[in-house]
Amino acid sequence: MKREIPILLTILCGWMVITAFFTTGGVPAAWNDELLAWGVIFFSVAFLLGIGNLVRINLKQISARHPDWPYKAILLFVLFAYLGIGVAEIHGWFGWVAADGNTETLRRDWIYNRVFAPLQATMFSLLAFYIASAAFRAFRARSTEATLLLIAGALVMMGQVPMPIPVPAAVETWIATTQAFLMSVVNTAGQKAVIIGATLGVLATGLRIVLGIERSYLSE
Amino acid sequence: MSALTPLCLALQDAAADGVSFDDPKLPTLIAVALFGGLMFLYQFLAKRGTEISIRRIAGLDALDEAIGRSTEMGRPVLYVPGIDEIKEIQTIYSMMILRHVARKTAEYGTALIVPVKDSIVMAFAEEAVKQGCLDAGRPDAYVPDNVRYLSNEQFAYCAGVAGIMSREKPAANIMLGMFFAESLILAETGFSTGAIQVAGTAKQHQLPFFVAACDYTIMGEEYFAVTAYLTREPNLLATIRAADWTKIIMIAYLVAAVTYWPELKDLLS
Repeated sequence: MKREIPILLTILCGWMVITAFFTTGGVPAAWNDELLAWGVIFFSVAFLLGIGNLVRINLKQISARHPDWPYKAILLFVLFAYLGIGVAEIHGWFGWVAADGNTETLRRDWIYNRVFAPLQATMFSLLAFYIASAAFRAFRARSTEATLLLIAGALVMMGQVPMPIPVPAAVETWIATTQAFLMSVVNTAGQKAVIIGATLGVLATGLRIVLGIERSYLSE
Repeated sequence: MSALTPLCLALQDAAADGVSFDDPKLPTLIAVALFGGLMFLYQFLAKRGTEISIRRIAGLDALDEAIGRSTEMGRPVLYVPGIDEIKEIQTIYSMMILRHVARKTAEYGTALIVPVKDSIVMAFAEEAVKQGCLDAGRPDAYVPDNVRYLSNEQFAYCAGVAGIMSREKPAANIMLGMFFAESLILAETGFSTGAIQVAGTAKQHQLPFFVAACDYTIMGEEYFAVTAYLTREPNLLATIRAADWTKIIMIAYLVAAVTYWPELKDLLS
């Protein structure tokens, strides 16, 4: 029964959602809305699982005096401090409320916008350097394919950025035309092929799960 | 029962509204029915003994090689299941592959670290790893602390995974699932640590990054063939063959549509 009930539920819910997709109104749509609402509740409650995991693992490492234990302690302190500030502001404890109804004056928003958002932006900005290092390796002309990649990459790059030196108008036009061709024909064709293949893969996997053929996601 | 009353009332109202077929979705339904029909046909043939072959996929063969290398070096395997929620089919699929990876690492006695971004994915990952260890006959190999919830924020999670790569130096990084802008940061950090890297996604925008920075890349539809490829179960192989035939039919349709569009339009209308 431990195996059959989850499979039955998966099949039932899967078919309900599929029926709702192909129909409008009526019971299937109502069931679909209901299932989506349940999903939202599950996702919200599951946050507690995540916090529990984070606290358990980090507390264990702090008590075992892991070499990085001070960072773990800071992590837990920030986690609970931010949670505490958020709860206090939601309930208006200590008179912590938005001044003049402006939510940007809230402490939790200040921390998020002034501390967390810049840190996120810092991580994101690392991409510029990683793209350069990855491109350097990918564009090394060690084989015919890599040479083609290098030429195509160089042409697209030259078509995207202003030329550092003056070039004849005919050359500039040729580069722009070639770049447009590479992007709109060659690149799009390749991407469409991947998308079609992946979509069929998604369809196959979805049907396998809904029909109960694929069961490896369950404990058996 | 009183908790279910609003649902019963909503269903009662909905039943009174009546159901109607959503006409614009007819082509989608035909495509799904075609694919389903082919799938059942190949399953029937597979059950009757028809052998369904599948081509060699280097990225999938490399999974075992990567785990073997980690075992030899005595270092852990890092499995990153992407950053999307469990409702994304790529994440569900990643959990299925995780079970296989966990079975292999348990067989070899190698540590497996699974950092996750979503708490429901964490519950699934714990179950997949536990089940993989059971499949290997080594339930003691399951280490609960190695399935780690890091953060629900994209770049905080990314920083956490990059930290694990730098500090714990896994010998193999397996990145399978749905990835966004963090893909290259993870792949390049992994490359800098010297780990063997196997990545796979059906997200076409992230594929070039993985191709550039990883040793093996499982791309697009290959990603959804993993369980069929690894288990060689006829029922699963039948779906791969059905997908291939659907693709051939779609290509024929595209060619026909481009060549004979006016006539085809009249026919369809």
